[in-house]
Amino acid sequence: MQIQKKDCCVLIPVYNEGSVLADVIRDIHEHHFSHCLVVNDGSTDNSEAKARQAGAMVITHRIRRGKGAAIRTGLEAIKLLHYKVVITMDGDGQHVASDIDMLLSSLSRGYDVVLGSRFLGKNKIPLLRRFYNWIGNRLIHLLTGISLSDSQSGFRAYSRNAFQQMETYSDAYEYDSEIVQEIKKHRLSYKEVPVKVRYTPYSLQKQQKQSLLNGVKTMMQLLFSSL
Amino acid sequence: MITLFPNYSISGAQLLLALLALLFILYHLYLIIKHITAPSLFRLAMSMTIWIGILVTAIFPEFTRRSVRFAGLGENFNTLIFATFVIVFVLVYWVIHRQEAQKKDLTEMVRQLALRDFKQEYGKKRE
Repeated sequence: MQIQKKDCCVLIPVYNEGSVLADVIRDIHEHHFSHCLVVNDGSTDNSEAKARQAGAMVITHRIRRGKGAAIRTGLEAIKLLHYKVVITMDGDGQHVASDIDMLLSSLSRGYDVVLGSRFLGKNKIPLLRRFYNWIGNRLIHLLTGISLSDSQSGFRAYSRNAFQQMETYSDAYEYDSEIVQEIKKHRLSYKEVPVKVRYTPYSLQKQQKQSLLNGVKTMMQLLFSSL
Repeated sequence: MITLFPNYSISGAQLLLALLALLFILYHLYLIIKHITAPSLFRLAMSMTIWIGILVTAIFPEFTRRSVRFAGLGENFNTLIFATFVIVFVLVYWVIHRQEAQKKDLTEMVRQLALRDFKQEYGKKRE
């Protein structure tokens, strides 16, 4: 299946990423992906204005509802616009737009979902982050039987077949894990590909706020949802 | 031990608990009188029952033993404590469940509003 870039939409959920968002969108446009949808999840800074100035479409949650809710809204909007492929990326600049081509190349080989993995490539990842991810991976494996090297990655590509079937309910960061459960539930084909990651002081500072407590919450949510 | 009435003494911990309960009761009443909060009759009754119960139990521990005997539990005080724990657990679970449901409703409302605005702005662009 040949995928044309005009049929792809890059979906970026953001909350207060005004200082880096324009660069993220510019990076995506420079790689010839002209369709970019920013879901502004109740930001209190200038994220929305920055996204519009950079040429992205914007959909806005009036109040913050979490990354999972933002991606759900974004996917719903993308269905309305009839795109064939969705790529999700984080808005803090840690993902590199040049990797999108690699995700699409696997998708064009017939996979429903392609998951970017920070751990398959040569990335310098903080030890604590590796540890959290290892726990997440083990838990996901326990609950779904799917073994991944990076179950918490937000850099993913979905075919229309996948994003039309998937039905998620999580509002927060447990969304990334819930997607793996959906892959299992709908028997979607998937593949992990190595992606680069840029841990800037900015992105690391943001991740610290969502680390341990969110990890525990994610674990609890996953356990309850699988009961 | 602190002598509260002639021939009636209580420990420091009991007095502290009683003062805490009294403080909460007075604080609740102050909020209502000053129209800062307006709880429903049910909520007020629940809140007052709990705090007055704590106050009475702290000052007159014998009251709970008599209540237990009156309720037919005899001297089996542990049964009452266990039953209370179960009830509290069920109530907490129910409250969390309700809160989660309300959060989901709020999310859905925010999402639908966002999608409505989005349709108006971009609806016809790719048709």
